[in-house]
Amino acid sequence: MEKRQCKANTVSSLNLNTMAKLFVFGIGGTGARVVKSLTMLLASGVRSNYNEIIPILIDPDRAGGDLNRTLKILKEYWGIQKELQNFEHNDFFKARILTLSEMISRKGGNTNVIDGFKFELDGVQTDSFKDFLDFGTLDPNNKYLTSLLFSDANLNSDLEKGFKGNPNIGSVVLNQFTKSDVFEAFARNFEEEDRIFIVSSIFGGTGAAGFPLLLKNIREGKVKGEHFDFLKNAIVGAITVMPYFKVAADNVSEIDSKGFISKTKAALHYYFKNVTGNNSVNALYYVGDLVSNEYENNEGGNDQRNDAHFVELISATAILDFANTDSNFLQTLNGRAQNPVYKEFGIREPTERVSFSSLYDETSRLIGVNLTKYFYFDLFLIEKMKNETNHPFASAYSNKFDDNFFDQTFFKTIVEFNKSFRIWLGELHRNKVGFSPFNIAPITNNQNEIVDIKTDAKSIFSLVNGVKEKKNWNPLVLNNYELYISELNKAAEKVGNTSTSKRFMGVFSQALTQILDQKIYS
Amino acid sequence: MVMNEFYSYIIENIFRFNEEPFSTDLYSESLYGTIGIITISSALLFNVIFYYVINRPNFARWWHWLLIGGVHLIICILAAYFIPKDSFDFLFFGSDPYNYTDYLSFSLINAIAAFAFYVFWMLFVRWKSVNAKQTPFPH
Amino acid sequence: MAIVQPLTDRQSRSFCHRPLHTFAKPLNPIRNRSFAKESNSTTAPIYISTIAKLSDMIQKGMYCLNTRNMITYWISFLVSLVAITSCGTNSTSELNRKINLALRTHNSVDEQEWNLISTYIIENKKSFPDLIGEDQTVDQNALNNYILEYSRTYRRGQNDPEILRPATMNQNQVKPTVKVFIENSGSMDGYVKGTTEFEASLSDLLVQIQYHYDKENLKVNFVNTKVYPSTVSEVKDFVEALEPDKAPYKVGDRSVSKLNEILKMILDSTDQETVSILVSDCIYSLEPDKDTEGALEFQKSLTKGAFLEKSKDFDFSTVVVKMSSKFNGKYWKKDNSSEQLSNVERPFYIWIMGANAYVNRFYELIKTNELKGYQHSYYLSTNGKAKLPYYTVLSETNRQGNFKNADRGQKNITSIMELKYDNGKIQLAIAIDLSGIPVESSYLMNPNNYNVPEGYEIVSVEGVNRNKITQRDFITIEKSTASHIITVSHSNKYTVQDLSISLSNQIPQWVEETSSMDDRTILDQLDKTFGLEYLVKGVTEAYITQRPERNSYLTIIIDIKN
Repeated sequence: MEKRQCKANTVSSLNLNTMAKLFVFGIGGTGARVVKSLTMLLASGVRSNYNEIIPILIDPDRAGGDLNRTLKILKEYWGIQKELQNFEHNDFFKARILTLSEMISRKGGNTNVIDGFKFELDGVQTDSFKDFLDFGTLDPNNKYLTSLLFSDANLNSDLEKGFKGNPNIGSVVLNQFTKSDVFEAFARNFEEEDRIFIVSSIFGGTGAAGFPLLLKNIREGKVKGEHFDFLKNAIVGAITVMPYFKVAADNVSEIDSKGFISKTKAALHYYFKNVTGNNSVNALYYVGDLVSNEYENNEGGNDQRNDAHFVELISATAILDFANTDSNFLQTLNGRAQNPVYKEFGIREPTERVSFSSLYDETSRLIGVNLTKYFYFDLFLIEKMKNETNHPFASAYSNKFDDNFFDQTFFKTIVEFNKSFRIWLGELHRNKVGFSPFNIAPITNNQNEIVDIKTDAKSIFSLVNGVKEKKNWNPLVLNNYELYISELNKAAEKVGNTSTSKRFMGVFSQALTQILDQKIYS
Repeated sequence: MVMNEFYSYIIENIFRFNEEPFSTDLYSESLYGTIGIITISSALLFNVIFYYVINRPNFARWWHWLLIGGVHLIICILAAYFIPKDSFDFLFFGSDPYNYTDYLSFSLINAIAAFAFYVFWMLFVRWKSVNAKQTPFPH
Repeated sequence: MAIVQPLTDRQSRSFCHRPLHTFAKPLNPIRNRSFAKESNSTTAPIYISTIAKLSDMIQKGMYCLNTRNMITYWISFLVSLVAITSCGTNSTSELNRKINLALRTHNSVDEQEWNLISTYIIENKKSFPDLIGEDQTVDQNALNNYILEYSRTYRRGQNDPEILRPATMNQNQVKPTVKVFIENSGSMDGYVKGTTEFEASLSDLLVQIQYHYDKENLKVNFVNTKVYPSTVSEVKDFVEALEPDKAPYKVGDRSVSKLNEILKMILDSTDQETVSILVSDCIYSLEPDKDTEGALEFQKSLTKGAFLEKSKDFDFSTVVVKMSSKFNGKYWKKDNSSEQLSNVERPFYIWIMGANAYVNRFYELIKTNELKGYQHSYYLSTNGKAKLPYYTVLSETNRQGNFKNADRGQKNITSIMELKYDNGKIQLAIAIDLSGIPVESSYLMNPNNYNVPEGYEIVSVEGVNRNKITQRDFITIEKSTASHIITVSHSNKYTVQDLSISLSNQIPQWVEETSSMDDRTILDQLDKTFGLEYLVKGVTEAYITQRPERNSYLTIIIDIKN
């Protein structure tokens, strides 16, 4: 199989059918947070060989804070990306994120599937687990079996908020996904070159249950009695996120992080048999950390809103690593992966604060420059954009960056997205282990949630931690924002006249490449 | 000299500064030529300096352009005052028949012409400037 | 017994530290250029100051040779040295300026400019030893080379200039014979009695003639009915000896004076190498009881005839000079009666006749207007059209209204345009060189003697006067040969044509004023000469007949372009 280089401008209606896609299943809270990190990375223009990505989030916890945040971001990404297609000057938002229904309708199929990124689990809205099982209608023997398998607390637990760290419940409920129309549509539209990646945590409720379930169904290749060979022989990657945080002890909550480790061990045993043992995945990634971090103990719902963590970011890079791996290394035959690979992640040395210099070259190469670019892009937007519209890059072209443009949906979406980006950076920074590639300070509200970040440096190019600004002692050379604006002007000349949105992103993208080249990275 | 004719036409006919015999002396000593070259080329030079040598985003507002124009004006004023004065000092063996007001009025009229040329060159010079092509007014 | 107080330390010290200014003269500022010709008087004080300082130094001797004084003295010495040398340098730069000024227009040095430069060099001989020839005049070749050198060094890109040198004077010019004819008829006695201006001016004249033309070329004669040569050994003695009743004056038939016959005789004896001078009272003597006017007319025609005859031989000029002198003697009136006049002032005349070139030269060499008793003169000649003199329109002097120079490339303004009238009138002044015109000053300055087209009016003609000319205009003409300023006005009621100014060649005013038709009341008209007008008219008409077109001395034109 030849390596497919996915470039944005090769997408055309004729090639639709040959455009290879990457399906990313994000299961549970961890899945949502990882997909969020992935979105951020894609926004910053990190390279992915698979240019079309279809995220599917599976989480019964409808009001899950993380889930909703991720969905919002995905939606914004989708809206932004729509306006930037096929524009070679722009590196941001390069990868296309599609909904499943969009992909299907593009191929001409019916769209009776989720129009969004979340899979709706039936029956979890109001029921308890007991109701879900239709416990009342079971015959006595089944009732006893059920009682044996599940505690009373389990049976009475309110499913609306997820499985709360009980994979035994999760595995039962999630089975319905694999029997759904959605899954059938997915299987039907799965093509030979497509790949699948599954994100889940091993210690949680939803993820731990869903991952092997999903995997089993993929490898069976049979949905509602129909065989789908492409699906059966799909190239599947997965990351299983091991514990990296604990929750505060709380008698009331059903979640107890003391059980995380034991649960992990139990799950790993299962995986040994049913995941790795039988070569179900072509590439399995492991990531985790010493558990020193303590989150609030929220059982789910809106409050299950954890700060973004470095581990989630790394998990996102695993997805990209999988996407960028040549197909020669990932082959499946008869539903079994040939020569599966297993990968771990490490940084240079243990530290409480990770910056780009703590990463090994491969990782820093993958995400370093792009994240920095996007960081500076955002910096300019919040600090300067409104006041610098008189410069040539903004006003010398027929499509001006003026108040009109700032009122448009596109720009407003960018602003919203960037806010999430900043919050994401702030959370990464605040967390333990913290990821602080940039010198920022988070701004919190009364509930100690991060609502924004601020930077404070005389020289803006010294904001990258661990990387020295390339100083030029010549006083005549431009510096700081002057240099920035000058590069914007130059880039604007190169980009030329095109739609305002495209020009906007293209100008910044090009300019920042030059700026970073001059001032930070060589 | 062509510049002498051309520039004398500009000052005398367009800007209507014609004080005899001062103007005739300026003409016969080719001072119009000298001052003309200085004025026109310095107008071009200062525009080039502003748009291509300085070429800074923080120095690209219309008053910055005017500032450079001001420097240009000062130089033109000084040149148009002292060059004829020196020339006539030499010509008349030290007993210059003209008042400082004659030189000053010529110099000031020339300053107006200088500013006109400054604006003129701006219209042609600024297009390729990376950071200042919108100065002093957008396209 | 006086107690001698020894000098206190303080006193002796103060002697040492006498301030510099008590003995050194301040150096004259070199750079301050005055408008007048730069004098080299700056050298003198500098020499003095240097010598003063040196001598003082020597005087002080051993007393105060401390470092401070030494340094001060040496510095002032060196400064003086520099001043001296810079004096020389200043002359050179001054010369260079003159050359530059000359070359500025048309890249040439014309005769006038050459003369100016030469004059400057002569005046500053010391500074230009290389440019002075053996005969203490400017070495023409050296100067020529100097100018070429200057042009090549300082005026790069220019071709070598054209340098026009004055035609060298013909050193070996042939000197003509000067014959002086003194009329000694009875009516002239009154002029020689005693000591009179007649004698003074005659003496002066003869002396000058001897100087310029050499003794042997001067021939003195008395004339009445015939020409009687006389000898002059010493002019002073000769003239003093002139008395009515003795030789050498008293010779020939002095009872009759026929003016026309005298003229005829003189003209006959004048050849191309002769300049003849007649001294006479120039009174026609008429037949009595004849119609005066008719008789005068007749005399006039005789005069005219005599001159016309002569003109067939060669072209000659005639100058009539009116003089005045004390007169003591009998005056014969037209009716042949006489009256005794004592100690009155009476006019007499000196006529100069000869070939055009000689008379021209004579008139240049011997300034008749400086002779004692000179009053007027009238120059008649058949000379060809005179070279156009220097003239230029002045830009500010006497100007009313406005105009512009139409041709800026020209050195002189000779055409103007864009006339603007002020209250219906425009007025401008023209500087012109009238020095070559052989007429007297009062003739030149009489506007009536000029012809201008209709609409124009000569407002005034004045000599060049620094105070009446604006500074800038004066700069234009000071180095030129302009001698007069003609102010002309034009009224906008008339369409404007080119301004042509002709100085008409007509009998000057004084002739008519001096002439009398009736001299019987002589005491009332002592300064008049009977019939003079007719005499002069006779000569004038002879000249007009020869050259009818010669009715103006010169014509200049100012083009009016629109």
